[in-house]
Amino acid sequence: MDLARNWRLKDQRYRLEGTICNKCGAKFFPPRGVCTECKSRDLRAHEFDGHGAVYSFTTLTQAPMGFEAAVPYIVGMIKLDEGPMVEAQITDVNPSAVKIGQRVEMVTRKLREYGEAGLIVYAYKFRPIANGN
Amino acid sequence: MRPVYAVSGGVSKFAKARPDKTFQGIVKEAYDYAINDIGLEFKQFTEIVDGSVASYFSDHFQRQLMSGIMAQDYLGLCPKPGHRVEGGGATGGLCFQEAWKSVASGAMDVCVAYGFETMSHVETWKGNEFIALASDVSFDYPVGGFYSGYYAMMVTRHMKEFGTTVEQMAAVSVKNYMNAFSNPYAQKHQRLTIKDVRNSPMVAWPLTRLDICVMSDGAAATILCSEEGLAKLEKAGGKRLPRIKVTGIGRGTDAMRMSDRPHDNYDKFIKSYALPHEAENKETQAYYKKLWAKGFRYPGVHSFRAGRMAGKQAYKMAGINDPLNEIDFIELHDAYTSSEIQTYEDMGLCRYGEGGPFAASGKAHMPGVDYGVKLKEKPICPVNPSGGLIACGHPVGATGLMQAVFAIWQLQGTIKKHFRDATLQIKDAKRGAIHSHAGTGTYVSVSILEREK
Ligand SMILES: [Zn+2]
Repeated sequence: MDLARNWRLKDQRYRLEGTICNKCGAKFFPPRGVCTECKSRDLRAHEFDGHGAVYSFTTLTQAPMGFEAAVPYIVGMIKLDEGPMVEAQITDVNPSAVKIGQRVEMVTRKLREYGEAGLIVYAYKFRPIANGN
Repeated sequence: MRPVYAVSGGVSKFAKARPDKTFQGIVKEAYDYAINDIGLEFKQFTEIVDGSVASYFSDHFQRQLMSGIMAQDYLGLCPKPGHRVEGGGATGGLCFQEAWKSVASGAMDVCVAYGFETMSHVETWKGNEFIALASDVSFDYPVGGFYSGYYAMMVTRHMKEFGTTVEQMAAVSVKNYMNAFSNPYAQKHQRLTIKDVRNSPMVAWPLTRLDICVMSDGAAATILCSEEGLAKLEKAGGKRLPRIKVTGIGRGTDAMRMSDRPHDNYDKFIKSYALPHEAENKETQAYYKKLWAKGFRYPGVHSFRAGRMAGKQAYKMAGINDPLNEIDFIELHDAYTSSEIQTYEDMGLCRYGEGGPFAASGKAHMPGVDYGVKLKEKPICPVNPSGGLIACGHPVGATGLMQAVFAIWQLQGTIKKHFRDATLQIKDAKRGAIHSHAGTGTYVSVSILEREK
């Protein structure tokens, strides 16, 4: 089940692919098949440029299974410049230096290894843009 | 719809682990207590009761599907009607309302709502994972998220929007622990200071272990009935029962992913979400206009739209205009100190943004209890007089029903009898509210209970 799920989500995890409404231009991540703005069902794939700002964040000092070795790590809500919000880890930064409103960009990183098969999951994380406030 | 009375309830001992009994056995503790309390023999009640609603969140903890029917059988309720309700952390609150519907609709005269969770049957890390499965497993859980992390992000935003402090959050824990000190059903009996809360191990900044409720084993049951059902129970027991009426129910929902929550403007808030006493008050309008001018949007992740909708509907049905002054106490879903603060605002005890100062003010504290902190204001509407989830424990399927039982006892004026201690009895309590909450605010229910003259 996990293998199939990871394969199915590869376009989202590696390329931040969502959808855009052909009627009103609203953008969605994760992809939706119905536009929540105008209720149109006419949408096409849209690759987000991965730029945004930190809307909120926390530093986890206790972790769920599979993330113990990563502690402490930062999870944030990233408001993409193109509209949607996404939860993701914030990387390449000291936890004490993260601020709400900080500019970030998407990078592809290893998320975790798990299961008997040692499945390695890669996905998006976000890192601060130098001098970006 | 016809009037519905909540005549009785029972709560099992909440504990970190109850290795002594199966889940059915723990449910029976609560169920037997509720029957005894109305002066009936088990056999008499079994003949009168029309059916049940079962409440439990997870199938994983007991590694058993269809647990509900096993409890139904164990209680001797087969072949009477019954079904299971599930809605995350709000499962118990939803169950109470489903039992209310069964009676209000005329389908049943006497309906029992029972709920349980036996979370100790798996390791804590496994338990955390099961709970985390109640978030989006494709997008939120896989990035290393889990519930304490989600709530930490909400309160980080609350702090940014309103200046809420970690000491204000800790004040909630100090209050609820101190209340639980006089509640024999509570899992935790410990006096805390603000320092204790802040010095306990950090889980997800700014939430420490003492900002977070604990996992528990436990069960609760309530008996709801119509006027006809009440007459049958009174005739069988040979005594008049106190009239505690359910006068309002409300529910709301929101998207699973916090990221999908709206960020609405002032006009939309006033039109769709403001409570009548907010929408009509000029000063409050000016207060909110100022918030929006600073960039505030509703509900974002600092507020629970589902909780506001649930409260709004329940208040309308019960005829409540000014919740702080018209409700005598509230048992609300304080899975986190921060979510109690967020819920003060959703339920209109104060305005959005005022939850932090409200928590430390004393308005939500119990009269006559020494919290070891200076409180500026007198109690107006005690919140979580029982000690809430933070100190009583949170056996998910039982939690919302536990709140109902404590509310019934408060309104009956029987706290002393059930707790063997009168400290937590709110004098002359006429109206109480119970609030049950799931996920990151996905399902929320509010029910209003009142003592009939
Ligand atoms: Zn559209």
